Amino acid sequence: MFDSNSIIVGLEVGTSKVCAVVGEQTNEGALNIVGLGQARSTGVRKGEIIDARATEENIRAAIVEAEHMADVEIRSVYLGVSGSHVRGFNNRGVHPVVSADREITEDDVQDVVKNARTINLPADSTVLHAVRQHFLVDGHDGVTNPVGMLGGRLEVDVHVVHGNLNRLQNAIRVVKGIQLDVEEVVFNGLAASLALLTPEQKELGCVVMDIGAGTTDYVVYVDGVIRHTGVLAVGGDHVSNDLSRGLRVPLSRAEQLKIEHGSAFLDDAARGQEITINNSLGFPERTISLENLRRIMALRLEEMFELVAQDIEEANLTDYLRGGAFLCGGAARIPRIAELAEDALQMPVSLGKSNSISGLKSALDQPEFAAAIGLVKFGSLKARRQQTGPSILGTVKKFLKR
Amino acid sequence: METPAIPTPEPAPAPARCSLKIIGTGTAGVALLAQLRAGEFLAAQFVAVDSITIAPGEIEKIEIAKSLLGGRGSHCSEPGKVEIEGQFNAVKAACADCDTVFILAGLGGRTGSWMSAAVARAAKEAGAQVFAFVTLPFDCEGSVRFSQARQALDRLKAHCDFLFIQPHQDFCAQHAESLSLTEVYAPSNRRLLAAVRHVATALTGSTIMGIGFSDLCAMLRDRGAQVMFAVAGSDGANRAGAVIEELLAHPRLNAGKLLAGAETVAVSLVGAQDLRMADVNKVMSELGNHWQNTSHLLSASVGAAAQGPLGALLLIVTQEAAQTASRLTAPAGGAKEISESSTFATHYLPDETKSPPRFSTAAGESTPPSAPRMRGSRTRKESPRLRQGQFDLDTINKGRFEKSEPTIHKGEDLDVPTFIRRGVVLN
Repeated sequence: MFDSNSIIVGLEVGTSKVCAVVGEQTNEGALNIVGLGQARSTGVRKGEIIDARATEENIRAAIVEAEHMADVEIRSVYLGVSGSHVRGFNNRGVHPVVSADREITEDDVQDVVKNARTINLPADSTVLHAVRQHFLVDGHDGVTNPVGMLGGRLEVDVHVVHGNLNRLQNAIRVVKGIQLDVEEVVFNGLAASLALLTPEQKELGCVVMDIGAGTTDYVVYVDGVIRHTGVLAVGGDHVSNDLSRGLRVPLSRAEQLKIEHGSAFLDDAARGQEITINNSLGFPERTISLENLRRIMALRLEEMFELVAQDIEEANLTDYLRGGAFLCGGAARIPRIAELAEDALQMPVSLGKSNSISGLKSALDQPEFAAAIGLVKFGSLKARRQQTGPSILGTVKKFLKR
Repeated sequence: METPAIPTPEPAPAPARCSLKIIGTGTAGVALLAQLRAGEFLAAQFVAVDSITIAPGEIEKIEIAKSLLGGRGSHCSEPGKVEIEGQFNAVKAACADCDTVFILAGLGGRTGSWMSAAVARAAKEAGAQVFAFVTLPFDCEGSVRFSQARQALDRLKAHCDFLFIQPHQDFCAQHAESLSLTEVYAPSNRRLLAAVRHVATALTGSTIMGIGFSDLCAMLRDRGAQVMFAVAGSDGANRAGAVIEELLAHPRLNAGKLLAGAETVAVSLVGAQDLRMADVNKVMSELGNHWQNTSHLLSASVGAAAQGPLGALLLIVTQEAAQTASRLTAPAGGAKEISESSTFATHYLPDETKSPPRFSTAAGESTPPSAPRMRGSRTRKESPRLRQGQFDLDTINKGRFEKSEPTIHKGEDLDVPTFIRRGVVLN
């Protein structure tokens, strides 16, 4: 049994699955994944809870499985959230340095960040994250840590991620309903990027796309800091729904066909080919066109990437993404999706892997667990900050902002 | 006794085949017909089909008994009631000797809504090419008339080669302050009749550049939905400039911004023998400044006259316009929308203008591009300017997302399958 103080649990309540990942923080600060539990999600649509009771049961099942595997008792979790209501934008905060010697202190930094968070959000929205990008001292740009510098005016650019308060509260209430504490609510896209990216990749500039069943969350890093986030409420479920409609098969069969015969590319080999599908007794029921199946999938996925590319373009960040794009989430398993994404995004694309964390190989290699693993990493960073006290706060935040 | 030889009478010469017949149905349709006739548009024969034929004397009349339409106030009477064989055959006989039939009607009312489809069917069965020019009610006229109009469009669509739809609401904002209630129909009627004249000229003239107008319409008909149109005409030295100015003044074009977001723009230019390449170049280059990368097609035709005005007709296919218009005009009851499949881009346009380029589509099948939307379900602030109306053919079932919050991105409902929205026809 692990020391419960060193246990960090990430809980992702997704559209297709609920996933709980248990991590152990070693004394040396390393993070080790020791448990994983998952359950089919039946109460979530497009990343948002539509059936609290069903979701509660799903979470309970996933937590129990994770507890058994890790041999721990889970008391609190870092909760991952997504949904079309989650949005991000950049904001600047200003703070005058009033001390006599004009030396910028940690308090000044805290104040300017607080000012940057104070923005006119809709009444029903709340700030999830305010991630520091860089400081300006007396208008001088590009300062990463102003503490100790002299100046009269301190400014900071932050990336603010916010969401609808009620919808976020719904998720929190469901988790609390099964006697679990929520340590913090974290945007899934941010969590996935923490799991997948190295500091070098963030420095190069890249985008992480977590393509789940209900939503596609993406986070753009430029020069080591988050510059843009977004949620597209389109995911693998839309692919299945398109297949169901286009091939005239039930949704469950469409889902099965997607997994067994799907591909992001319509290649020549698929043209003219047919797939025979059997009925419940195992007898051939009908045939469907493989070409149509793949065409439908390719169209939806291509559109998804195009919309993300368009959003990044509108943020004027495309030219800064020298590190390319990293895909994760369940839809990243679709064969040849990286090729399609390369075409649509016009940049190198690869499947993301949680390289910077050790532990369960079965979890770390799976793209669909990236967000949950990232939640654990987020928790470990926060725990380290709490353990080391306020003087390390800046370091942790610096890490977080990556 | 020899019987005197009886001289064999010479066979009577067959009546000359009329190239164009224009049929007005209902009160609004007949009024449009009368305006057209009064404007000395002589290149056609005119027929009025109405329950009360008060058309001018030189217009052929086919009277519909009021009883067949169920009497006054019977807005919901079934179309079958008016398609009584006698009336139907009369219309069919009237169309038997012509190549092209234009139908003018105001939809939303009684006779026009029910009879226009019957007339279209009769004309089609008589072997004519059928174009319908119809108006839609004002927004303030209520959901019943909208529902009636949309159902009429649905019926009409099945028998027409191309539909030109002019909602009265289009010019309401521009003229509401200055016009009296009796004059408020005039701006949209004027545009619709200008389109009639343009299409008649384009069909009867010789296509010199680009593709023929009939082919253009056939392509756009396959492209789907009713296509937005804007029409303009001008004479004089700077006629191309004036035409552009008039086109861009159309409220739905939003000073040309709509062209930039359009999927396809077809330009039909008509003129007399004095139509110059400079005119064509100027119109196309000026429009090109607005549409940028939008796929476009040109049809330039000239008539027999030595001199005449330059006329331009824009046919614009844009998904956003369809959805905006659908939002603007959808009845409260959620009446069925209409549209067709898209094979236009893949078959007729250069590869670089298509999206997506990777896939080919097959012709012939029809797919509905967008989901129905309830009137008033979106806030009005999203549509500051009125846009072109397009109507989808079938109701889209969004499957598992039917009851979930729609994912709207730039006016497009992403819950609707991509292959449907992009008009890709599955084999």
